[in-house]
Amino acid sequence: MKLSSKKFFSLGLGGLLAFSMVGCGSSSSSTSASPEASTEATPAASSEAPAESAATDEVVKPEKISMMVNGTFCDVASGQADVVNKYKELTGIDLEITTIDHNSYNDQLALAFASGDVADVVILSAEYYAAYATQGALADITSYWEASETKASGRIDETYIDSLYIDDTLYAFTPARGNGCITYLRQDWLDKLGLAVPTTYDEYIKVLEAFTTQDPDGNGQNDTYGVTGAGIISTEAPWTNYLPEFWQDSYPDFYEKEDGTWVDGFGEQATADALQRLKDAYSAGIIDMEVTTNKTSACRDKFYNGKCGAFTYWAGKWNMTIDENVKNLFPDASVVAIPAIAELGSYTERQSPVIAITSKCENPAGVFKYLFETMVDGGEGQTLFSYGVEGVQYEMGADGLTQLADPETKDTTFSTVFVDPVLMIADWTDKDPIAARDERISTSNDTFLASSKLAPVIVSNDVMSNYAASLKDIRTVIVSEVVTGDMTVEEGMASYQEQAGSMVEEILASLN
Amino acid sequence: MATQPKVAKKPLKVRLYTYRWFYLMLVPVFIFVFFFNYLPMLGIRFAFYDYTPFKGPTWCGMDNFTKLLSNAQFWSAFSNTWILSVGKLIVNTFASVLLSLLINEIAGIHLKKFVQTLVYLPHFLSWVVVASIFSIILSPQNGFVNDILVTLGILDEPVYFLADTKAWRWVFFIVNVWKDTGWGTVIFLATLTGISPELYEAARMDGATRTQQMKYITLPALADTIIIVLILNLAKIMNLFESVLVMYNPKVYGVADVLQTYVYRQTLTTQVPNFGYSTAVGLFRSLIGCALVLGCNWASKKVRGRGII
Amino acid sequence: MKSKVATASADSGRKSTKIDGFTILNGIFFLITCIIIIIPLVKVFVDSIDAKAAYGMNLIPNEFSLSGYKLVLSTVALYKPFFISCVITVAGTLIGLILCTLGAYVLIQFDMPGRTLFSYMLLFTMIFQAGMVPMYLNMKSLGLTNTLWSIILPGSINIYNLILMRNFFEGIPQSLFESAEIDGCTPMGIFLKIVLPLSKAALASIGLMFAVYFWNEYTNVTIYINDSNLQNFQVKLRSLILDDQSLAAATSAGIFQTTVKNAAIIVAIIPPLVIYPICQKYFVTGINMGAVKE
Repeated sequence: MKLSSKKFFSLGLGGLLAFSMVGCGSSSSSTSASPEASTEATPAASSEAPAESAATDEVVKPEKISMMVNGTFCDVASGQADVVNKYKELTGIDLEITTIDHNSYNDQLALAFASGDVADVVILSAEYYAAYATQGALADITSYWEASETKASGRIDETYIDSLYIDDTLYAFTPARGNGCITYLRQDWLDKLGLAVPTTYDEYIKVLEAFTTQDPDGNGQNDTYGVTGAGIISTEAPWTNYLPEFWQDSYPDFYEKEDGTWVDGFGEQATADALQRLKDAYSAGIIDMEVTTNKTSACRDKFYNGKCGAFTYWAGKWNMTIDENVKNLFPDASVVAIPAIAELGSYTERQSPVIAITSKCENPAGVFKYLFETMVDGGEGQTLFSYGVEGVQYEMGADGLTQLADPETKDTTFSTVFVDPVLMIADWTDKDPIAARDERISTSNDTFLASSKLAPVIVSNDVMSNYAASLKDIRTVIVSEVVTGDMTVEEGMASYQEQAGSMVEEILASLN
Repeated sequence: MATQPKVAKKPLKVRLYTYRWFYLMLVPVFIFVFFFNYLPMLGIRFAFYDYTPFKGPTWCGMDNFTKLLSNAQFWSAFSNTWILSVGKLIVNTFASVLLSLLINEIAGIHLKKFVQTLVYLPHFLSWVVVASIFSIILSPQNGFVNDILVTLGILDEPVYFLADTKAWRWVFFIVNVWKDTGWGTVIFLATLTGISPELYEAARMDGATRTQQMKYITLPALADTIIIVLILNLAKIMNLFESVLVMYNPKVYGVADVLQTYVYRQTLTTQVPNFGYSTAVGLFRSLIGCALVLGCNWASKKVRGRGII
Repeated sequence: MKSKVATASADSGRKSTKIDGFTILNGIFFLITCIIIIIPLVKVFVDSIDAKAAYGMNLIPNEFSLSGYKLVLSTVALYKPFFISCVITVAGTLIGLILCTLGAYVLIQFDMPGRTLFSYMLLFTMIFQAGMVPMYLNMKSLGLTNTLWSIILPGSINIYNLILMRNFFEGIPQSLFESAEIDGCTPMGIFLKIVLPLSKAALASIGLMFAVYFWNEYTNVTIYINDSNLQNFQVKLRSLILDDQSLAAATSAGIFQTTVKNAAIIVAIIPPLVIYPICQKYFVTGINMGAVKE
């Protein structure tokens, strides 16, 4: 009978599984063994490495490098295989890439470390870098960087690498900067209302008020407001990128002052002032009423649909995307990215995501030289990791390189393999091979760079990890109560001291 | 309900032999359960360990549990979980049963099929999508619902539903009903089709009204299924997560934050996840679910003479 | 005595076809209910065919256009994942139903020694679930990571469904079993010839629940499967079209992102939309076992 054969099949499968389980016991015991082994290996490796590179210049070329990437790296359908092949042509090394879904990347990273089966190279966001480095999961590459040709060539803007040092040791590299958010305004609304691009806080407020009350879209209805954002305070560092003009010089988290002491920015006067500004603006209706429930996509939609005239969002490529989307509904509209207003001084550039060599890698020096340095070699390697492979992701013309359609989604242009050419920190030996870049991208990028500063370094230690979640909750709730609710700034600050005071003290004690 | 044969129990060995084929039939089920449920369950022991990806598991006893229970936010989250979860279960089950009964009464077969398909569609939209749709519908700035309520004079001015501590829970229940009621009718409708029409005919001939038919035939037939669905869902009561995550915001943490979202925020900010901690929370949730299931099973046995076991 | 014998066309017999007050009220109730349910769905649908999908609650498209659908349906990258989802769903539902029915059939044998013990053992697994890490490590040691089996197998052993199925089986009169035994039928024979045919409604509804579970599977796929050739429809759809991350790279030539997103959402719910009416016929018919009358 049909059904009994199915039953036997499942029995057989079960039996097979039973036999494979015999091997299970040994592998699960090894999982607890290996993580401990790795923490012991790191100190040994770091003490060996300086000796190695000081003694000889001989870096062994690895035969293969395994890499774990997330959505920021070109995925298989977009031509990853071609990139790997070209890399092999250039260096002779097999690059084994495991692409992991963006949303579960951090989970999978943790699982990989827990099971002891980690690639040589991983991508990490800034917060994860700090945590993983202090846990001993990453290889010490200070000596490789210091002795590298790339550093000596001076083509790299070293401030970005310097910001990655933790206790004078370098654990990861970055070929690109982190980018930041810049404020976009509806130029056509400004023109219509006869306003100039604001350069001070008062002017900015006037512009927002005009957007709210003077019917800038001319439809006879009072349905527009000044600015929108996906929250008043962001859920991660650098915290103030949604409404920077209001936050100004406040940094509502722990940071190190110039004299080396650590303080809690949230408890400082600058934050109290910022909250007051936000409160006044919110009650005047110039900030989107739904700012506490907005998701980022909702904010973008609102801006595209002309509900508001100002929106702070990522500089560079997004300028083009935002402009195009606004023009879809309003063909005469145009979007302009404005320089930071005087009181703000400069926009904040977040700490960039990094690539790091894990402590399990057997040949970190080799990986650094043949992978990391290739990414920023100013020539073919740099082109490969930013623009991709000729014929697949771009084609060469007389004036230079033009990007082709993404092999996966044919309607969109290919963006980048890994290193965004707009954000890369290494100069080209000759020049940027691209023939032409959309003006909107370059203008907003230049405007941003002209007035930006690096975000304070993210740190992590056990005490902070313990309290981080509770602190964040307390801060978010207080901010929303003060700005959108009935709490006054003084009450808010008092409540903060009450709820978080002891935690803050403990953290500062551990940092100072 | 099938009647049990009232025969003296045969000796054990005889019974074991009689039922030998059934034991064989159970083997595939147990193989699966062993490999995919029981083996991983060994991992529950990590609840008593500190287990980060970098250091292997180290024993820490009840530390994870004290950490969970000592935080002030925990208790508020815990009570919210009860309120929201139990409320959602009762409201949804009640609505599903009601809807099933009414769908069952629809005369035209095509209309019936149409309605059944329509009401079960919202289940297939993901929570993310549902939340974004409803935040537009409930928007205090020219939102659909607010417009209607203000025009009808019920409200003086728009209410910011999703950020209002008084309104949020109602919104939560309503959205849940919208999304999952239709889906819940699948099981109840399947049960309803099993009821013999002869019973209804006999009742009608005896002069029973529609309500009486429902009370004496339909509902008792459904009762078993309702109880089972309720009890089974009680096991998952502490797992409430995604529906809250997409609809809550800092302004309503006090009424909306549930255990899982609270833990989610905690583990989200520690980049070095402590699996021991998350397992401890899971164990805590399971213990509560277990107590609920066993308790309600016992109560059901007392009241109806049988539970789910 | 209330015997729950499934009979043919369970519908038409017991309903009076006269239009009474109740029917009218019922009709009005459903009209309102349907409208309320349908409004958000209509919004998604309207936005998907609206070239200029505006932010707000318009129930009529501003400018009719099918470009959103064209984009979604022409994305060749979605065809293989669609097929993979179908494979997972079919395989999972089949295996799930087999396990479910076998288990449920055994659990209704009142006289079988150890039955209560087995019930508790199965229920236990439903209540106590290991976390993500032990599940992952377990899957790894079984060698199933990065294969479709890691999705199909754990999902097919579903105790919730098993208990529901048992509930349905309990409605079958004991007399049927007894008479079959007297006729010399083996337990497996009874299972195939009596239990299954009488449980069409149960098989259809629980089968539907399995199918929906497997079709919607997302989280497990992202954790266990790295090979992009094995990604299922939901994962691929989200990463290509619904994710903010990928929209950043898209310079959608003249096509609104909202339009594309909503078209993708509608495309994703078409399979369930189509499956349910097919299952429905099992909900309204059964087999006449009029032979058993005591």
